[in-house]
Amino acid sequence: MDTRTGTSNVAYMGLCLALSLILGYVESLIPFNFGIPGVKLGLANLCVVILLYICGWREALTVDLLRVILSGFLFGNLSMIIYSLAGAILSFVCMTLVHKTGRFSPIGVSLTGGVTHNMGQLTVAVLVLGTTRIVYYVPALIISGALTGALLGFISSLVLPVLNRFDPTKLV
Amino acid sequence: MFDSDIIHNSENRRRRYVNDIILLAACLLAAGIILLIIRCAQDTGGYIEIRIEAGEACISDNTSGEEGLSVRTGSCIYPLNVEREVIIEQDNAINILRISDGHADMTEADCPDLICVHSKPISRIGESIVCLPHGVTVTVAQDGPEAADTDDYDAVTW
Repeated sequence: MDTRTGTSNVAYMGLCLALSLILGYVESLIPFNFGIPGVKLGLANLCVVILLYICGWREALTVDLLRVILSGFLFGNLSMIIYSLAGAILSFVCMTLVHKTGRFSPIGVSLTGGVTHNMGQLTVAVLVLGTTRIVYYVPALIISGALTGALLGFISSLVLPVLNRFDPTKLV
Repeated sequence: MFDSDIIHNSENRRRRYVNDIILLAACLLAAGIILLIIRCAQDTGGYIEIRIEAGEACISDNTSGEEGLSVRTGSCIYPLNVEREVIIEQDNAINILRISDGHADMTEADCPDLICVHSKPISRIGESIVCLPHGVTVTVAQDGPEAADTDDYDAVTW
């Protein structure tokens, strides 16, 4: 029987951080391109959603921020960190709120994350580029965020019951 | 675990999935509404502007019968209401832009990814086709050259 100790939380956080970095790298290898910049699977978000359920929002936030900064330094550059950070923080706040209501399954939580992540990035793009022209991308980004988010939520809803730690009576 | 708990859980689960579907539908609806608003707010443009990022490009078209217009880094404007095929030639790079029915479409290119060729035809102000490997940008603009009598010429370069 797994107890929710601090040590086990740390272990899960480390596991999820490593996994999210690998998933971020794997995602860059998958040719998933619709010709619209910003449309991506967001596989790394999988870890954040799972951590949100099995540990809590503090642990998930820590891993989310570390993931963005580390993957930014490993595979990207500073501007990528700023874009990702805006998306990550906004999506995290929204996912936590949706999760707290307890009225949505991981699919709904992840869907919210996908949509708000894209919106956060677009907001930064508008501020950085100083043009409102990219607002034309909003519908495409909402749809792609919702669909990829729902897909990842579906994957997490399959993964969560398998994890020993997850209490099935609580959610899902 | 009591039976009542299981029933309660499965009911809860169903409710959550229903909520998920409502959320997804709301997102798609919001996207649709925003798309509609953008579509209505956008006007069809009268001109297209071809920009070359760097280097030298030879922009020629098959309708005027004239020699190709040589363009350095800069841009070139064509009206959208005249049918023509514009050939944008650079060193080892070629893009062919087709203008017809008030739309501009990149029909051929020898770039590796062909994103520009797969882009949809453009006609509304602000829409653009970009060929990153060749550094070619085609954008729809409302106003053509500043001169009032635009009928006198069919292309302006600078």
